[in-house]
Amino acid sequence: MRVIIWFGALLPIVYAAIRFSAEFHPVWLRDIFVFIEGYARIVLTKTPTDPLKFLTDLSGNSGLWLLAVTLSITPLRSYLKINFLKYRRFLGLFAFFYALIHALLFIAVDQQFDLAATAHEVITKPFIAFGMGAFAILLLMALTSTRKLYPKFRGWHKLVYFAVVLIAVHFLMSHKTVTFSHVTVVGVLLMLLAMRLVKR
Amino acid sequence: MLRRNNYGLIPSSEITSESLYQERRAFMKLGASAALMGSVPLMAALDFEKSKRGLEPTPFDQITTYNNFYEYGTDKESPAKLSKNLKIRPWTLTIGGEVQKSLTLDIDTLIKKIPLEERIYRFRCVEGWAMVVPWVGFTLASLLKQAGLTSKSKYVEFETLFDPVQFPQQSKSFGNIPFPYREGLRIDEAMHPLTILAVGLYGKELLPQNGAPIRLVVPWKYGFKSIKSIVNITLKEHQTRSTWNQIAPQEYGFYANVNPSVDHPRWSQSRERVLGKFFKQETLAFNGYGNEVAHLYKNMDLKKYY
Repeated sequence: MRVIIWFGALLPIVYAAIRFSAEFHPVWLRDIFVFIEGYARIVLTKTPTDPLKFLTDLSGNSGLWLLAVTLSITPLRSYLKINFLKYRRFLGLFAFFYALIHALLFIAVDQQFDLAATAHEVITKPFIAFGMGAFAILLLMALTSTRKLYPKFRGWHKLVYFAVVLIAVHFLMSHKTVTFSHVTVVGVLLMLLAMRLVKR
Repeated sequence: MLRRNNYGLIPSSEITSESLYQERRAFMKLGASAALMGSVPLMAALDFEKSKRGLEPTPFDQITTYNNFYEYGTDKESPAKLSKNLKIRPWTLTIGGEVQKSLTLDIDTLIKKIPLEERIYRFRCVEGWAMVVPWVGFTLASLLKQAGLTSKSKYVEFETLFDPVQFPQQSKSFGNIPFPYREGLRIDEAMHPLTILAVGLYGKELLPQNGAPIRLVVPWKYGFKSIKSIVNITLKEHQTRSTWNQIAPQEYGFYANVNPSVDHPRWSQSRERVLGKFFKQETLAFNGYGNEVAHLYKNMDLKKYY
């Protein structure tokens, strides 16, 4: 199970590596990728045109989906009696890992480590503030997820529900128009929260 | 004959030989029939001297595969994939409204008659990415003069083709912008020598994803002003419609001049991501065309009229 999680959680990094090495693919590998592209809606053979945007989107979406998987552990247990509780921290840390990349891309590359400028962005732009707020919560959770600290900070970890709401809004605001697929993603997140309210 | 103009600060090292111009011009004329036959072998024959310094054009592949054309979808890749069969011939462009003489022009006749020139311009999207495009076209002013302006010609409105059969997203009721796409300029902006109607890029006819067969290019404004696949140009007495401005006026102004000191409500506009580059560069006021156009906005508060 752990191997599956490792594999799944690192897929976005494998994907990024494939995209950024597109120019150097040997012919046989390229042929395989072209074949896959013919059947699946995925791009494999093209270097990202807007690399910073590509990595920001990929890390953000990966963090969002891994957080969704992490949050599905409890509903799986209460509705379907499948117990994956022992993997929850592991998954959560992977979600945080991508959130960290996402935040670092913004602070280090987009804002060029200008902390004053970053602070200005957080203060003046709700879109950035929501994202940073969610990141702060995930950071707190990651730091207090050790065997020693978790019992003391257990209550604080409930903040993740608030982080999910912030992330949902941040996600919607990251696009110029709201499409059906965006609504679906937010629907999944809100559903995961709602399932906790409905049944104990 | 193709004339090269210095707008866009093209270094002399980039100026191409006369014979290549002739060749290219001939190609522009041939392009129409090639497009009709659905073959594009001629296009590969022409190549541009790459700039050694100054403005370096973004690679053709990036300009033609990273597009905003919401008629095909809200993502950047759909336009190149879905637009291959856009019927760009025959194509009629009308110029009407407050003009002395309304015109209905066939695109081929227009291209044959009007002198084309190349303009290497910076292109800055409101989303924060940027590129450099070697357009081929002619000044909007030269066309508007043919229709003749009147004292009531104060704004110009442009409209993209409305054809839900060809533009799949135009029949969507949710998740996209209202169609037909419209944009507008003030008459002095429209008559400015930097404002062109482009019919080609990299010496070739425009591909559909880039707004074939004819599109507006206003280099000192955010890209959404540079409307694609135009069918109607209407001169008006009052400020015109502008699609993004109508959807979200607090985010997209009517003027939409590139301005690093006025942020979009969700992101800063002070820097930009050049396509193909990982690190951002500074965005220039009026996208670097301040010397030519700043006077148009002399007495305006650009924080208010963004």
